[in-house]
Amino acid sequence: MIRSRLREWRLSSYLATLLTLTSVLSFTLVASAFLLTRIPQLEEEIRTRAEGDARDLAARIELQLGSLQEQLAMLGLSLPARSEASPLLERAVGSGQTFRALYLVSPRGKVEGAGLAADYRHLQAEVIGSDLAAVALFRNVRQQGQAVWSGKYLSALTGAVTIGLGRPLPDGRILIGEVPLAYLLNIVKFNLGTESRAIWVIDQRGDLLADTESEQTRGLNFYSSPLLQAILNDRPLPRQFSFDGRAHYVGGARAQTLGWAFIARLPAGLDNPEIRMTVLIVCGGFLVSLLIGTATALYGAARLQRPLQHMVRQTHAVALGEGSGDWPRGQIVEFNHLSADIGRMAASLSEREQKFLAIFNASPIPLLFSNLGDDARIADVNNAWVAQFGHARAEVIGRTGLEIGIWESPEIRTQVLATVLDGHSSVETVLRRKNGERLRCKIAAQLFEINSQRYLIWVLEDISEIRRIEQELRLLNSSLEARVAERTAALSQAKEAAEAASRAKSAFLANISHEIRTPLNAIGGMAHLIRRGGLPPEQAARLDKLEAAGRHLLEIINMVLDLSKIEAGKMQLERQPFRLEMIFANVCSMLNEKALEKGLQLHYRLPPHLPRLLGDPTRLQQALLNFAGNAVKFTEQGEIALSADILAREADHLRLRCNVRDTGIGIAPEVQARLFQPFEQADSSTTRRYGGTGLGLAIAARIAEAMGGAAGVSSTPGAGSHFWLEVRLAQAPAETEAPGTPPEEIESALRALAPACRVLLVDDEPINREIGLMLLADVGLGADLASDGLEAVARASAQAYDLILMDMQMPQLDGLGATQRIRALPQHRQTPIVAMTANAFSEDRQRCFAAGMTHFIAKPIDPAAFYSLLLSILQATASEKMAQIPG
Amino acid sequence: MPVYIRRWLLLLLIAGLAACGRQEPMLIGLIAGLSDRGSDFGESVRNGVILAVEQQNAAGGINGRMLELVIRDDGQNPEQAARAARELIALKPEIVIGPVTSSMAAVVVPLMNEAGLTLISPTVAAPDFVGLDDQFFRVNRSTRTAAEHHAEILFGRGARRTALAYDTSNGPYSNTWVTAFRDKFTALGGQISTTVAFASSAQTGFAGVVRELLQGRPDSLLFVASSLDTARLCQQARRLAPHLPLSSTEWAASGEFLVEMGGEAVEGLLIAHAYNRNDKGAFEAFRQAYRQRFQREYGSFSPLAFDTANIVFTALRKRQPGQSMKAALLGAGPYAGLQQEIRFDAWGDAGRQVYFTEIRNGQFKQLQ
Repeated sequence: MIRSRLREWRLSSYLATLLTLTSVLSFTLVASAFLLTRIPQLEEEIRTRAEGDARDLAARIELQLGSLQEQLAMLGLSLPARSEASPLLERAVGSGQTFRALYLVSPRGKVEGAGLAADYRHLQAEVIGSDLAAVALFRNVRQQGQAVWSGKYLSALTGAVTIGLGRPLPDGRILIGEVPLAYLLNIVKFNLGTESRAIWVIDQRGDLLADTESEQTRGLNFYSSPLLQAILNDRPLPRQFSFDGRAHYVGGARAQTLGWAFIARLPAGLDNPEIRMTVLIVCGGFLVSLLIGTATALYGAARLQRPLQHMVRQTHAVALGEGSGDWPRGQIVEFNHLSADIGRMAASLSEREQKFLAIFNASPIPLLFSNLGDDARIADVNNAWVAQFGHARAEVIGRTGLEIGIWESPEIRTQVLATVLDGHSSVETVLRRKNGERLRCKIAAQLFEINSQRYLIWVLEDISEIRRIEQELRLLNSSLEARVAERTAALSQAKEAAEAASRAKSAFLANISHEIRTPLNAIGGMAHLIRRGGLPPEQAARLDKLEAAGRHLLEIINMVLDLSKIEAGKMQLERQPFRLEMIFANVCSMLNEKALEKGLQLHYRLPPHLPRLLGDPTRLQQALLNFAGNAVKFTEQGEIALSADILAREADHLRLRCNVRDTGIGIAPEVQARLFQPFEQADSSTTRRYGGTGLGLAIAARIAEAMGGAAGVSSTPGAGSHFWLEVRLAQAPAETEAPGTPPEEIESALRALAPACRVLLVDDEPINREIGLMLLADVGLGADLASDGLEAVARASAQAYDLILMDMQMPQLDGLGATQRIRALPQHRQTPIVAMTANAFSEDRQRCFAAGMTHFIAKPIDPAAFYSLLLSILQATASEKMAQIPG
Repeated sequence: MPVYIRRWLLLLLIAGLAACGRQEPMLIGLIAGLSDRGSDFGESVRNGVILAVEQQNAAGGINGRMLELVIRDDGQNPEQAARAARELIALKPEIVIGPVTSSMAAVVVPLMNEAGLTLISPTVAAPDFVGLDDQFFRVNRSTRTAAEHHAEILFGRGARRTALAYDTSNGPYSNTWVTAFRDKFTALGGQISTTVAFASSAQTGFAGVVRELLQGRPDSLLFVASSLDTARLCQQARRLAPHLPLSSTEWAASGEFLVEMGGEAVEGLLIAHAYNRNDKGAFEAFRQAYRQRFQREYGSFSPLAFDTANIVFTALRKRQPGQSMKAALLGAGPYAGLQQEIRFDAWGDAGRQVYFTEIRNGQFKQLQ
């Protein structure tokens, strides 16, 4: 498809041309319409006027000639009948202006009398007697019997072209007058009227008698002309008549009496002044409108151009990349909008450009912009690039990388270009700086197209440093690893050492506690036996104290173990239902004697309707006992009041505060802060005076913390102390308490079951073995003995037992190990194994159960609990046996 | 289509339309005496030409172009003739017909020769123009031939003593005619009793002229004058010598005019006509056409003029592109006139057959 080339116009010429064309077109249309309607109208008017003029002249001539006719008539009347007419005729002719000659002609055509104008008077004699019989006028007058005007004819008598008027006289003679053509011409001349309008006077034969325009008739004869025919026949005249090479408008009239025709003619078309004027006015108007149109257009264009040019200049400047000043505002809304918008565009463009330039240059990574024409040429580089490669920006723009010597070789360049254009993300190669230095660079490039021009953005990261660092790092890494390995080894050694130490400590503690518990067990056991043997009350009381001391010792041991466990983070709290009243009661009963001895009042008060609580009563009691114990210890006089307050009731929980208030010696403030830390006592003197382990408070605090609360003290030296323990305990569900079974019943039930039960008692301490045997024997149970784990396993392998009582701390193979082995034996899969241990806490229990033990009893053994447990076990075993017997 | 090509096409179209106009008519000039004394003569010639032109135009013109007649009056006046001739020359007609009198020819022919415009006269007869290689063509026979013929006829009718009156205002014609007649008449054995010259004007006293003529006691009178003057002379001759035979040259042969003007006085006048009035063919048609067109009888030179015009038309029709009028006229002959063939010699002169006529009772009786 061929695209037509559109010309470019300047605004002014375009507007001018457009407006001119529009003016021209519109005027032409209007003018044509006007002229097309007006000119025919005008022509018609002109024709009508021409006709009017012709009629006018015709009328005038008729009038004038009519008057001549009358003159002739008068003359005729006044002619004498017989005497010479000539003098009269001569007088009538006078100067010859009106009539050149007058003839009195006999009925036969002979001139009887004549009057001639002065010029012709000498012909008088000749004229008289001439024969006019053949003259047409004479014949016509004779024929018509009335006045007749002739056309133009040559008078034989005067030899002049004349118009004749003839009139019959009553006596048959005829009076003929020759009217000079000049006379006619004079009338016609008077009637000039408008300059351009000429009138022909035409006789009956079509001969031109006179022309207002010229003296000469030019021998014209119109007889055959359609124009004359139209006039003579009263038909409409042609619109235009061509004469002398030009067209004319014609209007005609007839003079009836004369028989002459009058044709007025005016030049037609543009020759006619009126029409010319109209057309000129129209054309003038056309030109004026054209001029006005053009002038307006130019003016408008000029006005428009000013703000426009200003805008154009500024936009051009912006396009070339130069700055711009104020954007012009004028009177045209659209231009102002345009101007403002262009201004904004330019500003935002500039801003964006600057931003991007800033970004480009701010980038610490060298960036290069090249345009891909036939070859990749540098379009721009950023500051980082300049810094890196050492070339100035102006040096490199427009040149290729090869030219500036950045590439090691053209082949490398080609290869890299290919790789990059291929879409690979990055390539590593060596590039050269201006000073020849080589840089290892990572090259990434992005291809993109703007306006069908392709560009590449190169990212030329100098990675030589990076590579070097990488290398170092790698080295460092490997050395680091070595060191780490060293340290780890050292650490693991240390860890092992620590663990070993910890284990050693635990083992030590366990051993110590075992070492201590064993005699304690003996003490307790012996005490029990002694009591069983019967004692006088005094002795019994002493025994009680002994037992109490033993228990106290046990307590200390327990505390120490406890604390170490707590320190190691291994305290586990039981969740069993208990009543707070029991704990308070226990505590009070335990300390009652002591209190009484010192003359102190010891009492407790609890809120009413305390629900059963879920928690670890042992531990709570322990803490409370500690507080109360301290209170008793450190009070010389007064009272010790135990109480509990409900701090908050939650849905299932209670927040309680157990208080121990005393009127003791009090504690100094600076000491209060340290109190709850282990091994802290008020001071060393306190230890000396009051004893104690220094662990109780710490343990109590840990217990309180574990129960979701805290412990604290407030005290006034000399006035007393208030130790408090806050705990958060769940409320225990309603208990279905089984009634307690009296001990005698238990023992008798045991005796009943005893014969059928075989028991194995394992304990490395002979004393404990002895005690155990005795306890068993008391209920009729015999037992086999084993003194350590190995023996226990051997015995268990040899024989099936219904019950195994296993001590925990034993050499060679402890209780746990033995239990595990025994459990592996087929006959002892289900055998109840009871752990006898000084470690009475739940975490110890867990271990026992995990090893396979089924029950648990704390050392020193409480006989009642022991018997109760035995009973439950043996009862269960018995019923099992029963179930297994078929039948 | 590009804008500028469209514009040019438009212009061409407009120009083309404008150019498709009517073809220009062919101009034919006519110079003759149309005022006062010679006007009947001039008018009869004019009318003959007008008739021919109108008939030709009615037949479609010549080669599709209409004919336009441009008439100028020489007024039988040398200055006016020169002016009229110049006017005609300026209009650049194809050819000019005229003048009608030798006196005017003497003025007009040099001008036409100078302008290179062909001139053809139906009536000019003076021998001054015979045998010249110029732009002037003559259809009429020369005065010499006419005069000698007339002398023979007159002698044949018994005239032995003739008195001559001639108009000096048409010198080239009259002088040569008179000289030729005298020579022939005397050669035959006749005598010219008196020769009276007069100048035709309003003031001329024709009675005196006749009286002078009668002094020589002629047996016939011969007038070499225009029809008007001839009529006047006849009028006087009838008054003064009622029974003398009268004759006139063909110059006066606007026969009908003569009758009109002369009335009884011209009874018996012997005159030569350049046409055969008894011809009932094309001539009669011409006569009817003339009468219808001009409401009068033809003048005796109308046929000549008519023929002359037709000669011109034929030449125009046959003219080759680029050929001069003179060459065309010389080359397109012989021409068919109303009644006779017209043949130009190398000098552009032709002969004419003449018929002598007598006026009897207002009618023309042609002698055989």
